[in-house]
Amino acid sequence: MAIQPAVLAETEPAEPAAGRLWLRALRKPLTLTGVIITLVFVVLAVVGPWIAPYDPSAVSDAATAPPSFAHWLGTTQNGQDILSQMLYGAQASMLVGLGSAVITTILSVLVGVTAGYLGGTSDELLSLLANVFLVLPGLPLTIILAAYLPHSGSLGIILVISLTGWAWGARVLRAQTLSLRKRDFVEAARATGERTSKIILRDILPNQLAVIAAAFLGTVTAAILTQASLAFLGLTDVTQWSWGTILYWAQADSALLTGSWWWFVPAGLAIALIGTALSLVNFGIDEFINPRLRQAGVGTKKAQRAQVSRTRTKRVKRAASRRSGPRQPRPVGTPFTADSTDVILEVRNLKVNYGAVTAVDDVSFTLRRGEVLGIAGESGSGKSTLAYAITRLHKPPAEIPQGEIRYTNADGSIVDVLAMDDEQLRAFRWEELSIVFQSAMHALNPIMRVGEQIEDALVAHRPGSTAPERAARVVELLGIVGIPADRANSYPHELSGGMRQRAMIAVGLALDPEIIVMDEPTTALDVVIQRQIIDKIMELKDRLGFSVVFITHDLSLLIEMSDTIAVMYGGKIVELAAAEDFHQRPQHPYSRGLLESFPTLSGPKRELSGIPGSPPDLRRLPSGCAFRPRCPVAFDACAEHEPELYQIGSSQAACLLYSSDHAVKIGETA
Amino acid sequence: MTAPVLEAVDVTKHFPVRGLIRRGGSRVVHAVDNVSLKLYAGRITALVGESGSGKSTLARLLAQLYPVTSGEIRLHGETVQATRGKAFREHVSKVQLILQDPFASFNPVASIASTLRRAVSIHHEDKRGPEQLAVIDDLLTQTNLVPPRQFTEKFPHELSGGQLQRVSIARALAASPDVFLADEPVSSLDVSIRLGILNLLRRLTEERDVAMLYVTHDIASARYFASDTAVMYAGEIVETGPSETVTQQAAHPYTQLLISSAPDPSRTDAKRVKDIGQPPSLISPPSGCRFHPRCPFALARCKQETPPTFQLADGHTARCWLYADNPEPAAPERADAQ
Amino acid sequence: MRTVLRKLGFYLLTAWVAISLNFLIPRIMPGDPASHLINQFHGKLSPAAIQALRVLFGQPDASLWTQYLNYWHSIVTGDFGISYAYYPADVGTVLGQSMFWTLALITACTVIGFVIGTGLGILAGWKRGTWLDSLIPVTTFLSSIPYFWFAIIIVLVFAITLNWFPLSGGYSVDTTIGFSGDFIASALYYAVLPAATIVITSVGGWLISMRNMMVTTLSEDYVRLAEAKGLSRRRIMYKYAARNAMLPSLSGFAMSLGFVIGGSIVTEVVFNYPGLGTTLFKAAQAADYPLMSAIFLLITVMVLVANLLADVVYVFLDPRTRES
Repeated sequence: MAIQPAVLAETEPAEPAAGRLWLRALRKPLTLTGVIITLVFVVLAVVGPWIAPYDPSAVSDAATAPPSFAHWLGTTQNGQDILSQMLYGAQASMLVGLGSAVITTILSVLVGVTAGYLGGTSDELLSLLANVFLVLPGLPLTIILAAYLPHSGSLGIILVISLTGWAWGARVLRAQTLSLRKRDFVEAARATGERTSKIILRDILPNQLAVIAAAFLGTVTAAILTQASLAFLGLTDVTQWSWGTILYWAQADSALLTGSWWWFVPAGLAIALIGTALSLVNFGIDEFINPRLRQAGVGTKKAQRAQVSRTRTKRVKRAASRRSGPRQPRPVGTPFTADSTDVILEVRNLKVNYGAVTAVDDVSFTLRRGEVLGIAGESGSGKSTLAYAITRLHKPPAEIPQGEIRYTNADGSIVDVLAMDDEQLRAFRWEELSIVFQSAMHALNPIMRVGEQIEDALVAHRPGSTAPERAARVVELLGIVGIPADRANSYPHELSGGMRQRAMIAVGLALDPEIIVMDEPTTALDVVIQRQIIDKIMELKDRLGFSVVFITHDLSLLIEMSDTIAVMYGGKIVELAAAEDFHQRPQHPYSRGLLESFPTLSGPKRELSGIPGSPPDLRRLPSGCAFRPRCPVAFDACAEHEPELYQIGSSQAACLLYSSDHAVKIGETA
Repeated sequence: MTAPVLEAVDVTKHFPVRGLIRRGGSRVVHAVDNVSLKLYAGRITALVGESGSGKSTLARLLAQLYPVTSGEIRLHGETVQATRGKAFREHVSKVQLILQDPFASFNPVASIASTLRRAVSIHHEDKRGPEQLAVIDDLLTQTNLVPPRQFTEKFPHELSGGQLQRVSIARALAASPDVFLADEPVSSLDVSIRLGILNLLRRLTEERDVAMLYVTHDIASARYFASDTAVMYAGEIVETGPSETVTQQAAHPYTQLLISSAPDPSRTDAKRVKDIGQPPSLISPPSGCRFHPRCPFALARCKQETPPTFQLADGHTARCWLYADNPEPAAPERADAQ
Repeated sequence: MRTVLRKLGFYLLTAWVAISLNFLIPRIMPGDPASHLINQFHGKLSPAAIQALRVLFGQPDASLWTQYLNYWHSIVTGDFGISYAYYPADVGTVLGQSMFWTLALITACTVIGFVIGTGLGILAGWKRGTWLDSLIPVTTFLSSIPYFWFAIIIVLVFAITLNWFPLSGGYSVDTTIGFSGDFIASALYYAVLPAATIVITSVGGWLISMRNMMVTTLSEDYVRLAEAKGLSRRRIMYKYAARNAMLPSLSGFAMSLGFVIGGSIVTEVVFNYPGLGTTLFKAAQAADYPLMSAIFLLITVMVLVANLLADVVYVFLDPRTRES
């Protein structure tokens, strides 16, 4: 077999590397402010004593004078210049802050990383030690230690603060190290033969820099505060100038009673400012560590507006769909056949954007009652985005600039799901359309009992129901999916994987919906359990008469269970056909390639080739047909024209081979 | 048949269950129990099983990432007990592990070149600087990542899953090992690119005459890709043999269940082996044959005694009481499936 | 329940460590601890104090172990010796009086601060991207302010300039201590400023951590499913998001308790509030070793009990911790 280059399309960096992300974090206004203020303080701490106009301890006649040109911050009771005291004090306070932070961080890293990486007895002992120190009240302990140290100069204070403060950072780092140690790349480094020390140095620590930095900055603030408290209480050497010492003397000389606000305001303000600055920087680091913090919240108007940005359809349609009075039952449907026209959902020209990237591009399809529509695609095909868009669960930055999702109500009227307001949408959700997610472990609320999670849908949509009625329904639903009734009081983590997924299906069936959208519901499960669940879903579908939109990458599974198959690639539907037709006569070259990629268990063994290259990056789609770079039968026009869905018999395929302009049939190309 | 390059001989691995307070008789997870497996040069052996079957643990035991509880791992016929230090590094220079998720297998803050350089400096100690780069270029070329310089300065998240998995393979190649242990190497990748990676692995096996263990949950790919297949269930190997035989004439009822559960649209017969149970607990596994609670053919004996491995025809073995007297593989319609 | 027992054991262990530390610290300092203390205060101690110290530390020739046992004995019997800052009252009495004030103040303030901070945090997280976000720099600033300094400012503004609240003390001197309406009203009046100080400066921390947890929780799949089920926004916010987000906040609560107590101690000093803080301060100034060590013990026990309570509550709230 010839060697094929793995790269067929030029790719630019998808995201800046970690280093450049730091710069991006800095650009946020709050973080930048924090950094600037911190730098100012650091500079002042260094040059303070040199630029101070007076000797801070020098007394003068201008006693208790408010701020003036001669003394910018006024004077103390003894005529000492407060500005000079502040500048000298900056050095001491910042020194204590930074010194304590350095030592504390070193201790935390040593203890935390060692405990986390080595595990076992050393971990237990170190953790116990850290927990004990954590719980012992810090400030009282510090006060007592400081009281015993002779003439607590800066070094003494630094040591005392470090001793009482290392435990918190150690605990955080230990937790981080534990989770990092389980990550595959650490195991991979071990499997390469790397030494433990190298692994810690090059794999563990670099990935913890953000946490270490955050802990460091937090400690600086805490240390400055603690030192100020100790100085204020007179427990440090009160002849050495620090911000806390200034406050000590202010208190001792009753600045409050003489109303000399200029005496104590600057010191406290300075502490507050540096503390705020460091917290703001920490905030920026937090957002860097946790990308979720960068998105807008669910409850915001911004989020809601983002959902549907295109113009709403006329009010007339909305009025017709408003449900008033008791719920109308839908006439019972007949079992689905290929030529059914009982349409329940029609998606027209749906487009979903993530900023400049189009994840779902002009997608249209119909779903009929009792039909199983399988949507197949790989990563980047847009299938999950489509699932979320249909149910209007997409979140910013996703938005829908164009398209309609037309749902047929029980009384035959048609409503556009995208045009619904909050109330209509809430009534529509779960009642008409429910969704089953991929991972039940994450989709079920971990602190709520399973039965209750079924019940709250009932409470929300059937306000007239009584508790016994709902309880009976819960038992009924669990029975339908094959879960024993006593499990209704279990929590999700107490159920096995297969049972959890079945519980999710029970939740989905709670209100007898017309459509159930399933997004890779069995991908994380064993093939044997998957078979059980698929069989159960099919049985329920036949019994209860709902339609299914089944989304997965497993094309073999779809062919077995679907009535109709839609294949997505690069955000578009590239083939739409009845399952059997698709299996026997796939039209699109991508479909063919995909079918060729699945090894079969039955039938003769044949040579498999797969498809060269990789699924496309939606940010940089090729011109013309998105599949062109990987297509074995591409020709020149494919780079210029984007194919539409052309009809071939009862199937549709988006390939120029089938457009009326190019009447080249498969098999006749050279 | 020549001697195996790497083999597990009656290997058992139990993990202690970390209880908060140790009650009398600490409990263990029976991850792997009395497993024997042989890997031969130039051949790919598939190890098929579901999650919790012990297949990943067995791969790591072979790589000496954990020590065995009992039994032996033999490399080139010699027993190895090399979970630490120099002995471990020597073992690893001959036996390399490739992990499942390419995006998780790389340090996100290190460039590709930086990560590969670490592997090269361990296994090619005599090379420095530009020579190391030359080795890296060569490794990337061997895994079809050309031109190599396009990849070296990139970070893991800038590559696609398929490309990154190739880098993973390149990293393993740096050691010039005699054995590759690939733990679900394509399960996290898109379907259309899986074959490219599998074909690459096969090419490497044949060209370099190394042994390859292909751990997977997808028995169909085992048929295509591996010359031999072993099926694991609940920590035990229940069936071994040539891949075609195991998949076409499956002997053990579990294998039959796996095959009939797998989606296969080209299968015209609708005969399904009905599964009546759930995966077993590994802390207190069922007595006797671990599959008996789910087995449609279970006999009384199956609950009482663990079956030994029975030899069927031509290197095909099955660990099932059904074959105690009769060497014929059982077809699904022999007993009435419930 | 096993988890609760384990926690209890841990806290008992910590208490033991704290008590032993209390015992050891002055004794492992170089030199005779009594002289050491005396020296530190540049001979400012009264002869009675010096004598009390010598008596307290006992004969230096008794073995460390005997001293340790004696120490434990004194703790169990509640006999901490005579305080010389409050001579001739014994330590136990002094503690009993001030403990009550601190307990009342701190419990109330911590709870209020936690409730307000967490509540605002929930809202800020839910509505991220709105004006509520601007609360964050404000509360960050507030929580970086030294407690005692904020206390000073508040006193200046509200007590001195505006004269709305009293300057210092725990109660008006012309009421008698007891459970009369007069006394309670007076006590509350005097507690307003100290409480305000503690609450305002501690709210920020809880707000930010709750907000961050809330934002993270809101992107979880189960919140998405709750939305998909058509549940009301309020139910999603509380039952699904907030309750899950609160769990890490709760474990952080226990940890920050120590810090709050530390800060409130210093606040008490500013207000001359008759709690443990002022007592500790006076003790430190007067080198009243028996009182100091007893206060540290007491504060430690209070923090440990609070932590234990928080842990027990956590076990009840998070079913994942309850399993066998």
